[in-house]
Amino acid sequence: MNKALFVSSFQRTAKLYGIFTALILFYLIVIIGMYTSSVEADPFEMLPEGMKDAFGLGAGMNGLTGFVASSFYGVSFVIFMMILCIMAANQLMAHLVDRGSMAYLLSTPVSRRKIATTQAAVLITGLFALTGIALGAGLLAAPLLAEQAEFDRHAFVQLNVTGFLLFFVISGYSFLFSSLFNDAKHSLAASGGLSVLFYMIHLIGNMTDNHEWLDYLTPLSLFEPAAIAAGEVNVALHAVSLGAAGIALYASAVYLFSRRDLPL
Amino acid sequence: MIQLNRLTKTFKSGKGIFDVSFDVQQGEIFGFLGPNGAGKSTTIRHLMGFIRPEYGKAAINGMDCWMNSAEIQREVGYLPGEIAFPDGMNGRQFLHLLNGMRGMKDSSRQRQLIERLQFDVNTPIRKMSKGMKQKVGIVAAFMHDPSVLILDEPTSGLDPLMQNIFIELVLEAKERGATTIMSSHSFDEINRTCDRAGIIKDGRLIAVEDVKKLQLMQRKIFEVTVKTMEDIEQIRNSGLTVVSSEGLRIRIALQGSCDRFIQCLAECGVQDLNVHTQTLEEVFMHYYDRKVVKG
Repeated sequence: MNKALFVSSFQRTAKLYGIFTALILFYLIVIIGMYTSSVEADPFEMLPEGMKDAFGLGAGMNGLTGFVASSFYGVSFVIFMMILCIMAANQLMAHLVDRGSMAYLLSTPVSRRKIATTQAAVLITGLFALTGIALGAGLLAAPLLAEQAEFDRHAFVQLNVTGFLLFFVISGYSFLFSSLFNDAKHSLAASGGLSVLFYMIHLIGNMTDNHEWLDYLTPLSLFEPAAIAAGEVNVALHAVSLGAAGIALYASAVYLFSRRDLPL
Repeated sequence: MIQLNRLTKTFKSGKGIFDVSFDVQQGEIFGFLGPNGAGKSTTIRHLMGFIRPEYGKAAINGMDCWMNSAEIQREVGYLPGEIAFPDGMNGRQFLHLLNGMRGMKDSSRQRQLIERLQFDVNTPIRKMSKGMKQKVGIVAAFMHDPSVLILDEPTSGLDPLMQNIFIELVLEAKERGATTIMSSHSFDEINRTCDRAGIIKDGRLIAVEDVKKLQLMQRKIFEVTVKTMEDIEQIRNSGLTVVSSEGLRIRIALQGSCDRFIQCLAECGVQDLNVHTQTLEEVFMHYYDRKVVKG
């Protein structure tokens, strides 16, 4: 870790994080607010069963937490965060190599390993801050906007912690591609393509009952918001698996970046 | 001190550098010449530790450029051929970042350089002209008083006045004992700064020569317009190398001393005098071709 680089990179990604934080907070608060007006009615009632299953809405509504989990954390949150992970990871490594400004970072006595670790730390800190802010905002807004609702704080914390760990993994492979490719376009295509693929597998896996093996092909199956809200998941096991996968991805990104030829 | 020992790197395209060996001694300025795509930048990228040699070794101050690339940078000042700064910053923020990454507390030298190069360091980088970026790059390369300078086409984009200041900076660094390698296209620049120069072509180092010796090899073509045809005859019979003549205009090639030429002209009526200087690359290429012919 290099402090000067961390501060500078953080400032440069702050705008991107700021936009997504605002977007996610807005959605979260609107969804919590919606719950008051619709009380216990299921807003997805008219959707066909198959589609509800695909988006993980099948577990039913367990009070406010279940409502927020299935209507926000199940779909919009995942998609926004995926986009953020891909863009931020690309900006922190591949973009610098593609543009050539990485040459300047490498012309200082800070080793490649340290540069990559610092950039990874910027990425993770941003995601951590974002999920932290969402968690805080949810905990604050729920009692204010939905007074009578039954809000399971414990499940909401679990939801955000597992959510953060999922994005630790998604940002992990995005960062790995970003560290491996010389061309920012290729890095974007690889991490974007893999994310879309994971998401598709996740949808298909949810829709069909007899293809459980599909769950092993995508990290998204380790984040089931509605099931977490219903308390049906071994959260610790999922969290540990996601954490381990993320660490492995980041570690290989740093290692491979420090060993490869750079076109600077 | 910079050492290159049989440095080889082949790219997928078949291009690359092959068996490049030379040393730059402490306090020496080494000029590195060659056409575009000849391998100058590839060699410099090895020195900076951006790429790993396929064979052979590059070392700075006795340390391997690939294995100890970060350690080496403490003593190195680098000016890239194509300058790209991180975006969304101004010049001051960028230099502050580099200062921080170098762990430097003192920025007096930086301020001094900014004053000398005369530019507004608070300009956002995306609004800077090429010359201005070059100035920021020069500050970044010199601000930590490095003992090794690696300069890739350092004066491209600078006006002649700034080129002079840049050459002064390089010579001052030399006085402090700095070792310098610079690639360049400008004969004048190499002429005024370098002790030795090497030329690379198609990835192979084809000659390393003292710059003084090269100056002697440099031919100057004088184009003289005289007053009468008798003057032309006189010049033709004087033993000078006449390249061509047309009416009252005659072209004479000179190499080394000018005495005889001046004496000869003193006896003629001269209307006009023009000089064309060979570029160092032409001299080198000329020299190289002759060597090949001689076998």
